[in-house]
Amino acid sequence: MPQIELCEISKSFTVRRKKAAAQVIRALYKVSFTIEEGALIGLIGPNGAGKSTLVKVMSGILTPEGGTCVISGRVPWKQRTAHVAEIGVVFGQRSQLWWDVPPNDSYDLLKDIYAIKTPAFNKRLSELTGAMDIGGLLNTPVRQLSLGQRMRCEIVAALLHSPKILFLDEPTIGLDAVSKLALRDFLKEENKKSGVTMILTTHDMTDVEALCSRVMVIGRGNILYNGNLETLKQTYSSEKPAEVIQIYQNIDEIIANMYREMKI
Amino acid sequence: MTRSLKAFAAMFKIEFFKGIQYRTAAAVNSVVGLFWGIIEIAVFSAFYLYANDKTAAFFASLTLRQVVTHVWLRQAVIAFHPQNIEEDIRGKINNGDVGVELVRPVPLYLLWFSKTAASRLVLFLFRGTIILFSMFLSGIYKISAPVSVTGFLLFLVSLVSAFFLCAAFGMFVTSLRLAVDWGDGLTYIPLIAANVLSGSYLPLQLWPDFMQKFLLYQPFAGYLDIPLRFYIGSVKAGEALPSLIAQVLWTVFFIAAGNIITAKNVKNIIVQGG
Ligand SMILES: Nc1ncnc2c1ncn2[C@@H]1O[C@H](COP(=O)(O)OP(=O)(O)O)[C@@H](O)[C@H]1O
Ligand SMILES: [Mg+2]
Repeated sequence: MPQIELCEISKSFTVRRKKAAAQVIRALYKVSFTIEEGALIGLIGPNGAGKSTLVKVMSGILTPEGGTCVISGRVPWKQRTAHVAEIGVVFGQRSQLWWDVPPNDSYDLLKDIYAIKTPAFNKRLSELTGAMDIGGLLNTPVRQLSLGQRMRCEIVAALLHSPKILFLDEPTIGLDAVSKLALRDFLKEENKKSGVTMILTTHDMTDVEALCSRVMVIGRGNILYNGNLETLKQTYSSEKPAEVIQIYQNIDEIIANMYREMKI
Repeated sequence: MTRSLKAFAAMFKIEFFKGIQYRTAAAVNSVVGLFWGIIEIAVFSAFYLYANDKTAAFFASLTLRQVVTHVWLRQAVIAFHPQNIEEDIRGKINNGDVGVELVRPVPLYLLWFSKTAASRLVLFLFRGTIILFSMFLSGIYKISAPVSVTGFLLFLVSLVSAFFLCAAFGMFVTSLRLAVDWGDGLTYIPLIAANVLSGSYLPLQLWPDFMQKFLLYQPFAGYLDIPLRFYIGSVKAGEALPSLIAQVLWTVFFIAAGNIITAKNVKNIIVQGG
């Protein structure tokens, strides 16, 4: 049985504008897919496609108005507290760490909130701080950390309770090359070692190339492609032969090509 | 229960470290409280000294010594009173980070209640020093000892109850802020009204006689005035138990209302962007 199963999930937002009639935006429309345990999925699509909305629905933050979603046997928004105890979420543009205190204090708080036993917590924390190389940052207030440093601390925070699924919404946004590569290595290793299912959204196609076993393309609230990256590349890489594509054509061009062809 | 205690303890730890980090601000806050208390006492003693036939009745319900003690205790207890929606929570509501809080396996109300309460308790630790200082003042400015051992114990019980009442009302206003897009400005109105009705500006027993029944049983007497009455011994016969019960009932009411309103609005919470 798949770990994540979505069937015809729809979510729309009503936006009120001054002096104009309320407008309904369809962020997701009848989205269906399944994900097996341990998969590493890349979720791509242009701005406003519905990626973050999808992540929020799957993490129990938003309640969709139609469709069903079952993750590890639970409906995220109905059994929210039980669901979120088993997942980790990282929002690249938002912080989950407490801004005014060092990461260490936030980690202590998370230990209590997730009821992690002390020995397990200590072991996990030293493992993660080692792998993410944040040992020297643990006692600096989060406010004073650089974006890349903060992101590394956020990832550790999201993995402390050893979640079964990790959602990452644009985790590499604004990171320099070194941090980006380190983060990828870490995610790959963590996926292999602990078998954590990972679903990440990104605009950086090299993230997807380096990490993901499967890619889902979302556009205007619909899943437009769901399969491996190679096939996607071949399909949308204008008439050139495959060898040439791999050498010369930039993956971003291929994706831009696809977005244009799909008119999204 | 254990989960709520844990959440509270964890929040308290965070707030405490934050308090220590900003200890200069907290210390300044306490020094200001001390000076403010001295000025108030000077004003009150002038009023008592120059009370004439007409105004004497006004002051008859409390002695100057009782008023002085009321001033000092209040300077510390006022730390419990929510002056605004808790800073971090307000930030999260305004910039859409509320969604991030929902990925924690703790009910949102509980998490925020703990945070609201913990931040107040930390401030109380700092402002509690004002009471210590006031013991070393001389003459009319010195705080008095509690009226009796029983009075002191009842004061402590009622003080704990006041702490929960204040956090419950703070969270009630927070839940309203989630429900209605008022902007921050209007949330001050219930908070200021609560401060006035708590006796923070003038002890409730110095307000006009015809208002006394209402003042004692309205929700905010429990913020301050009820516990302090036990300490200074101004509780009227037959009002001790009813006033304690009223304090608890209002707390239960605000917790229930805040919980319901928060739960209702969590469902339609808007999380923009990211
Ligand atoms: N809270 C909200 N209120 C109104 N519209 C929203 C809200 N959140 C998202 N949207 C809209 O839904 C669509 C999908 O948004 P989102 O999922 O954030 O896209 P992505 O993450 O792919 O860039 C966009 O048109 C966006 O404007
Ligand atoms: Mg997004």
